[in-house]
Amino acid sequence: MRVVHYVAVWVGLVILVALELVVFNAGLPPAQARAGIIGLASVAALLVAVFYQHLIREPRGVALLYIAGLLAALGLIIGMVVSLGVQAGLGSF
Amino acid sequence: MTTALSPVTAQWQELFTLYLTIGTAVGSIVIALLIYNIIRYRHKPGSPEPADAPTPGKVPADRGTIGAALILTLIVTGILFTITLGTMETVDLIEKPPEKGTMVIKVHGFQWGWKFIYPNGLETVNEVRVPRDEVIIFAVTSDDVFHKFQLIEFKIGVDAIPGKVIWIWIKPADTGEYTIQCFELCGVGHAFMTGRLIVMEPSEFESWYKG
Amino acid sequence: MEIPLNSVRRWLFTTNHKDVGILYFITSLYFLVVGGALAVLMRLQLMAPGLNILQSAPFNQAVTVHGLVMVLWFLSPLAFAFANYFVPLQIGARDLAFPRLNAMSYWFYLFGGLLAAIGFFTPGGAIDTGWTVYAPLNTAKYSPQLGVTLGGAGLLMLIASVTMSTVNFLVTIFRSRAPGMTLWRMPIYTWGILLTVFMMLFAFPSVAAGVIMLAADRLLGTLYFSSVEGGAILWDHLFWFFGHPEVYIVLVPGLVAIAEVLPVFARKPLYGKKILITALIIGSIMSFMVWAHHMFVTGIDPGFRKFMTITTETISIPFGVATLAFILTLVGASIRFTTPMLFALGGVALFIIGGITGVFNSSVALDYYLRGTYWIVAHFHYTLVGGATTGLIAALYYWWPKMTGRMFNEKLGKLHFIVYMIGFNLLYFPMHFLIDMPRRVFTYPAGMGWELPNMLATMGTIVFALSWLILFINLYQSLRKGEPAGNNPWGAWSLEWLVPSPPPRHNYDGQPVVKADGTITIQPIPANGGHHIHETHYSKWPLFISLGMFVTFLGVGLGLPVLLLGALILIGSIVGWAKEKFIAVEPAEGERWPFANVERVRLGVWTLLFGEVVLFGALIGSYIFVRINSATWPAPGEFLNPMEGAINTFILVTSSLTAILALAGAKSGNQGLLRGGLIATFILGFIFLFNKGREWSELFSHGITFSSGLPATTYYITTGAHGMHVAAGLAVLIYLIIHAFKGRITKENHAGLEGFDLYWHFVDIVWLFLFPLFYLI
Repeated sequence: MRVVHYVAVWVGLVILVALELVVFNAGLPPAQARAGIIGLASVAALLVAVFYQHLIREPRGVALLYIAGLLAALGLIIGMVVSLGVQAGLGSF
Repeated sequence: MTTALSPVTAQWQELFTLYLTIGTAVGSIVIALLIYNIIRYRHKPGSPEPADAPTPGKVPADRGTIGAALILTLIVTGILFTITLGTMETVDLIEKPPEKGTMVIKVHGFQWGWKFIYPNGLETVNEVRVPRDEVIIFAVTSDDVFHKFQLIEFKIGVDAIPGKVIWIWIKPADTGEYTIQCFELCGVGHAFMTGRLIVMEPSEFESWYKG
Repeated sequence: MEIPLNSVRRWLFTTNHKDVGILYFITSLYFLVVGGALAVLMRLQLMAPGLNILQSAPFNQAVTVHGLVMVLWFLSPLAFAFANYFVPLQIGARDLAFPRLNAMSYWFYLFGGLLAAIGFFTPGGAIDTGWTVYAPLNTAKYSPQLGVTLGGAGLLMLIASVTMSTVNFLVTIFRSRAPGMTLWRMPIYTWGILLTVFMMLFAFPSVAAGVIMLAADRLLGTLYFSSVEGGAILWDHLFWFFGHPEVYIVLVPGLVAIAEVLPVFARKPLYGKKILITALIIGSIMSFMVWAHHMFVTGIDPGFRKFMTITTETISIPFGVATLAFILTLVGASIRFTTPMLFALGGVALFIIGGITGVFNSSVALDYYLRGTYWIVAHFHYTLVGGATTGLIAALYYWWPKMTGRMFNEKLGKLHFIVYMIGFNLLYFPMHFLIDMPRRVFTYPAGMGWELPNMLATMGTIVFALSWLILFINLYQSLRKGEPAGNNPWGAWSLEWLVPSPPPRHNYDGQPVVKADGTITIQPIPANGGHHIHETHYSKWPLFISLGMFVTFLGVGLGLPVLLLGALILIGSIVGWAKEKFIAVEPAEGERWPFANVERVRLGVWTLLFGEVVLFGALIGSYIFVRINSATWPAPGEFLNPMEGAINTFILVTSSLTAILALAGAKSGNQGLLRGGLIATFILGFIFLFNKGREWSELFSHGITFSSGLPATTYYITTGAHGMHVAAGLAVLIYLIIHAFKGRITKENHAGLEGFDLYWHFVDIVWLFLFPLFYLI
């Protein structure tokens, strides 16, 4: 990849973070705002992983293990949240 | 072991016996198979080496097939899931008291003892009296650290956790004194964190409770 | 640095995998004796009701340290003693990928164990919370004594040791295999270690996060485990997400040790090696999906519990298949009843019993009563002692001649086996009948029907302890006057048996090659100088860095001067490490699927990052957990300023750009871009940290401290952990900048920079999530 590509990715990152602020200030219902902001953050993180960490060039095994780590982390988080059950409710989130 | 001290107790013992029976059977068969193989295929003086015996400096050839793996898996799966079926309903029985209008006694574990609060506000420590043949719900929580509230003879217990209330129930069939004990390490007093559950005749209980 | 082989310095400074393996071997047996002595004391106390050999407080310390030491400082390290010694040999490598890191793993492990055990000599005694360290008993309010903090510090050092080992073994197994040594051809022990380190990689970060939060609670006053919104259930999740895979981390090496030994003495190949490996892979993955069965009666969601019941029952299938594969291996065999074989067969039998009692525990209904009883104690000792330890003893006898060059006494070995089996079963089988007795009580009343099983178990303990004495006598005699073993006393096939016993320091006088038909040859290394590759085998820095860490942690208890001394040693020896010229040779060619093009350092950093994903997942998960569990939570913008967060986000994102430009500069030979990029990255990272510091001090000046509620607690610790990662990155950057200005980072040589870049971008990715999670949502 060339310098110009890296700069382009950076511009994309800056725009995504700026968009997060736009969504934050847009006065959307909380659920939509949260989904939008986390969605934008995920895209930004993906950009860094694919282009700056060069996941695009690495063998598939690297990406698979990255995803395995992510699944383990998500599994833990989902398990923790689900274990709270209905009684806790999602009101505060 | 006491039998049918409470419906939950009966259920637990039935389930445990089922697991024990199947477990013992499976274990015996597998260990018998192991011992049979050990004896049958022991080295006898003068007998030749198996043709595919490991040779220094040579990766051994593969042995065993996918088909065999499938059969193995199916056998093990079959046994396991037969047992599973029995389990799920028992959980419902343990967790859903069968009658309404029952007595709910709050149980507070603390370092190191048990406090009981009756619906009328009556409080006792390390001793709880209940009437025979009635559904008693224990709403268990903790005032400090992690404990486990266990009714040994009734074969039931539940974790006592600060900030959480978890229910268990019994319907004692016999009068008498039973053991309550903490089953989660909770500090230096853990071994002595015991109490008594006293099951009384309903009429006796009534007069005690009112008095 | 060259050191005589018979000097003490050799053992202090060695980086050779076989030497490190022997250090692990001796140390793990030392910890076995420590844990075993504690067990004997406990069993003597429990021999009869109402005894006074070990009072309540010392008993709780004994039961805790016994559990921690046996699982974390004996069992796994013994398995890794063999892994250290034999994995490189079995795959035809000259050493592990990162020999210095390997030595450091060992020293961290040793010093961590000393930290945990040193508590016995402090007021209040050693850690006494049970090996599960349940919340909130683990908090300062209920366990204020230093011993618990030291136990936590010891755990952190062990976790660091395990992380380093994980990286090392994964990179070694994927990058240093001999030509022709495909994954399927690897000996089963190496396979088991591969799966074990994969489990370690994803399991340990969870408990690392838990211990970090616990340390923050105890030292800074945060509220993770003292609050009811976090508390017991939060710790349960973080501990058991590690704790259950840990059971398999301990078990799998024992099982594959059995699988390694069985075919050699059965004189038949392992039955269904590929099936066995597949089963173990499935079991390893599933080990991450069963943790909540330790929480069945904590009042968690019934649907979640059902899911965990099904996964728990399912996980016994792969291990059942493994057991059957062992039994089928014997069909058509010609079994030689040597000592290692007896232990392997005994291990299978005991594991069957432990496996079956494990199925009981998958039932929620049964768990309502079984949790916390001696039934559980019986179950896991049958698996972890009966299965895992017995398997490792088989491995010990099997590999002893290779490690020492001497045979042991077969008769004493067989006697050991008989006494071991009698002692073991007398000790643990009666515990099944103590189904009504609570675990971890130091005494019990008479008249409950518990006297006989307890008495039998204590008798068994004595017999069992004696059996270990027989082992030690046998090993001692073997060292003194054992028969020479020769290269291959058992007629085994794998590579370690092709070289002398003990093997030479560089393992092979040439390059081992596995041909297409499976024949293994050792080919002379062509051209320049044959086998005279000058690897480095010694470094003093691993020891000194570990010592610095140890003293630093001691300083947490003993006060600032000690802490500063420790920090000084630590920093000095890290600099020493960085400046040292250390040569670790990677084979020029070999089997590297699937990471052929991922250079050694880069693969190492990647591996570290895969674990880091779970570390931050656990931190973020804890934040989400307590937030959902809290009745109220400040609205976004209420106590953190989104604009400040956004500015810092732009700064960190930009530093990622400058870092990647520096790398691009290095790759294209543009030194200006390289140096400019590195300096810009440093400045931006520094500004990021500076802003964070300003933000924190502003919050503090408004009275928002670590203990001002869970929003503050989670914010400080999560972003604090991230900030520490930024700071660590800056430290590496200083090193890289010096190197860049000395012209040492070039087109050909920029592996270190590439590794740093990966790390730095990961830190950036974490922040990309932390910013919205804490500032905008």
